[in-house]
Amino acid sequence: MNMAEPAALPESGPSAAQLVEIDLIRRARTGDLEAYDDLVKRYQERIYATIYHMTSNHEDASDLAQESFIKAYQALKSFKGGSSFYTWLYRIAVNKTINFLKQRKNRNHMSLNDLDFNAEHDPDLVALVSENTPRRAAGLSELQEKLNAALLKLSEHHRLVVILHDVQGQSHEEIAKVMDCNIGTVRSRLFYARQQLQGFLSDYLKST
Amino acid sequence: MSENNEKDFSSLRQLLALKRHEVPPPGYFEHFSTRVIGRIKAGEARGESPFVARLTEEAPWMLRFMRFFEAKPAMVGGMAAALLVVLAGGIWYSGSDSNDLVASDQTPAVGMSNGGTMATGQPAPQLMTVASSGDSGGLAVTTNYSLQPVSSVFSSQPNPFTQPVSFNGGN
Repeated sequence: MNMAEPAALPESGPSAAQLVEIDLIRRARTGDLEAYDDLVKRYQERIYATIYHMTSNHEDASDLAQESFIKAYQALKSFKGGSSFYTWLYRIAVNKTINFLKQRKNRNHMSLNDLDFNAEHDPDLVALVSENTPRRAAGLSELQEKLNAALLKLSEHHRLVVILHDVQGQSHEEIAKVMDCNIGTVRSRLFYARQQLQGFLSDYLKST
Repeated sequence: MSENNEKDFSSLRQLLALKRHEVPPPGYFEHFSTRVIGRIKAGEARGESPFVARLTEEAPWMLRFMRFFEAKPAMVGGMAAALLVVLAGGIWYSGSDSNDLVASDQTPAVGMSNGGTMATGQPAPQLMTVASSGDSGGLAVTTNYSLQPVSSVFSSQPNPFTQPVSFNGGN
């Protein structure tokens, strides 16, 4: 499973997959829960991953992801199709998560997911841990904890930009649509957030 | 400029790649949609009963209390029997208590003499005279204490614990 898989936005006419999705949305709007079940399955991993990376807490992410899908179902009749269903759903999830984080404020409690088997063999990570990191003894678990702690120090909007771009691989245009802002704002937020992170994690980054 | 930025942050981006390897417990997504659909159905079921929805918001403890008895007929029977016992006990107790009250009502606590003298069961101030004063145009209250016992209204024997109160109206 690759949580970073970016959403493909169409340049031309709707593809077969999109036609299927349009049909699923139409049926779900009439109360067809089987159709909505299919829609949930399509986006559950990406929505969960975004919320998880924002909260660094599996339980919170699980609740918020479910609530986002429930809210989307209840608001499905208001979906006009002006943006893609994916972008619309993302906005719901992101707004819900940001509201949650604002309410929680500084009471951040991390509940991190385990790293998959591939992490140990990721060439970038292996190099980062064993050769170039000043603290060579640092293991992946320690890096994971420090990285999540550093991300939680960022503001919600800066964290979101970094996650959507550098973790999930979305383009500036897609992020601008999700965050309902212009591309320049996305770029400046991304630059600032990276600078902040680099400062927080300087001990764990190789000097260039 | 943009390329320089990317190079400046290449090490950071390598580290951020670690986030992509964080995965939820195995099998988590297998039942995710089922949970979502289940919650939607539960919400719709709640929506069909406005009373329950209101109860859920305003008095969730009541709903929990009611749900405690769901599918527990023995518990419901036991609770009903206990309520009946409490009710019967209350009726019996109130009946015996009213008899006690009737008996206690026969003991006079306050008496009034024929001459407008009030007798009380307490050793209280003995005589209070209320008279209007023509000079002042108001009420003049004088307290004249007398330790003379007066006879009770209910018996011909003088009651040593009652004291006369005289109402001598000025007009």
